Amino acid sequence: MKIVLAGNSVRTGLIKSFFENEGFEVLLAGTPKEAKASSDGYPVIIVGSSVIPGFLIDDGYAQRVIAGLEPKAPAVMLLDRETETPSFIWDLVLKRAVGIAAGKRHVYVLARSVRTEFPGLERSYSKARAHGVTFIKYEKVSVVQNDAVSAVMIDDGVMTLEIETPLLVDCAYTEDRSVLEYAEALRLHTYDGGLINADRWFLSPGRTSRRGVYYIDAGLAMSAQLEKILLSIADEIRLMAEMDVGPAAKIDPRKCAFCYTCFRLCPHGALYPDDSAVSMSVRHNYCSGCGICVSACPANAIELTERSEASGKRQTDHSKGTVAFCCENSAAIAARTVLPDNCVNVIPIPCGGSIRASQIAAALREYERVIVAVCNDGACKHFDGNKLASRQVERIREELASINIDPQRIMYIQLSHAMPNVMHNMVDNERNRAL
Amino acid sequence: MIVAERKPLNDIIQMVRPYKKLLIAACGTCVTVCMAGGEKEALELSSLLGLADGLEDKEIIVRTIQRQCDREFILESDEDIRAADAVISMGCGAGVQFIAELYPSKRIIPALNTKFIGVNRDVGYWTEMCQGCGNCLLDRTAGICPVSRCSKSIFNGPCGGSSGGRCEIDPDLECAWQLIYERLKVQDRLDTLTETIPPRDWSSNRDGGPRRVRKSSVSPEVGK
Repeated sequence: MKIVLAGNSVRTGLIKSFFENEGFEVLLAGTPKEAKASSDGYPVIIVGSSVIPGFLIDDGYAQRVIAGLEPKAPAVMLLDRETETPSFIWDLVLKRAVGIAAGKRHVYVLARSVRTEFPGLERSYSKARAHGVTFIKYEKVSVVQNDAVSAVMIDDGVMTLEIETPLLVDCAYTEDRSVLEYAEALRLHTYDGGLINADRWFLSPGRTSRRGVYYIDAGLAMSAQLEKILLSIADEIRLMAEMDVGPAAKIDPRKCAFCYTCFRLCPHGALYPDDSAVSMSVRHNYCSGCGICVSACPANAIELTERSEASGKRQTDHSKGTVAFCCENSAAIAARTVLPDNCVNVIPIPCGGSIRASQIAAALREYERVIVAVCNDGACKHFDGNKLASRQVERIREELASINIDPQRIMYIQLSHAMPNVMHNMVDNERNRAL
Repeated sequence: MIVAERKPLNDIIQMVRPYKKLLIAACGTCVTVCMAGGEKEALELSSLLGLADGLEDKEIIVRTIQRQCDREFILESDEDIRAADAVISMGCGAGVQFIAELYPSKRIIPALNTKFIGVNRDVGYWTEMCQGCGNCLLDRTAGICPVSRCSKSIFNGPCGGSSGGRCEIDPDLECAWQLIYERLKVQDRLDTLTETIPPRDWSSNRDGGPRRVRKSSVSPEVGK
């Protein structure tokens, strides 16, 4: 099985031999252009060499530093100072904090927000608390350095606190910016001008916005942490090769106008101009089946292979006055607890971005009201699907207003899967309207 | 590419009101790409017309004609066109006219306003680049067309209304002559600007009447 290792880290050699030992054939791509050229069909692993404070990853160094301190002096680990600390750094921080606390030294962990989305992180918190590590949430922080002692002033908006410490660890993480060039060549989404979503809440470390493209920070060195990530990537690549990756976009080449709209809008880079064909093609390993391309294609040339069957089976229930197109990642889950005798016909859609204006307009012919229920901002698994849905709704509302139809017949709501109350309220409202 | 945009829904509704069986003919080329008259837009128009007051009982079908500016593609939908009381063409002005010409007794309704020949700047955003004036002088103006991109189509610009790189007609527009100046500067060809572009013969433009192009190697006959 072939994989591509992209990037120019000093650790590339180590990672290469790891994957070779795991039975992969490793192709190296030293430039973004090479990475792009060789990415077609093969899984790609981008290797960055970001800088992580040595105190967190080098045990020997950390022990020497701690050994040189006064016995009673507390240690302070400062997170989120400039930018939000990624969860894998949290993991390192907690392990180190436990190590220091075990040596009968008090440890403060200062952060703006606590991260939990990393395998085993919850357990690490419990362990740290059991060892007496103090967690303090702050809003503002300032540090005054006096010879060997740092005075850390923190403010949580209610009160201020000053901690003096001979050991202040700024857990700032400096990322490898060259990685962004690879991300751009492979058309990955980036966040806040930073790391390739390695820290996006719904993604585990190693993942990027693209299935089949991974990101490893070799700054982690060949630690057990890195090995764990590499192993999980290797497992996933093997698994992906075996399984059918689910609903995928299918393009009708006779209809495709080769307009590049899908290429530009696909959040997963799954659509690409196939030189050998006369239309766009789909990389099935990248396609997440969100249906954004289906909604965007002006030639109506794309459909989702599995979903289209499912939608055929769906019954329109005319006895209900309202239909709700619910994103299956949020609203459709929240709607599961809605009683079956409700007056709303719930139709799950793969993503808010998949909704088509014609679908909404057609539904208005059968139902009095149409609800488009999608994910909250920032929570869309496909990045901007909820915003695309909002724009479709706005456009159809304008069209309706122009022909004197009440635009409020279309409702747009955002919610998370854990907000069934929003669905319940909505259903109650619809029932009251119907009465 | 020819760029168009759909007419306001109300205008289309007024035109289709008298007819029962309607065929919406999408066009699969330029207007598909500019998201105005492709199959997606046609299906949307069909759904919207069905919502309009008094139009609920219309029988509407949608067909996509690959290129409404080529006879063979139109004839592929011959049966459906004949069966319809009226055809709503979502092609550009050329497409509408060509269907009308092939079916002289049929009412052909234009659904689009044809705008210009332009380029795609961003998803869903197009700008005018060419007016088809028939005598290209882009070589002298560093690849920026003063005929289509200067509001006044000035040949020896800029005019006095150019300010801060913007056009006095619309401050959202960049002054074409400012752009020409900047690009000639990059190319180290600023001396080009000292040569006056003489008044031209506009008969190659619309001013000479409707234009025809004949490729003699494949269409040697004279006439018609």
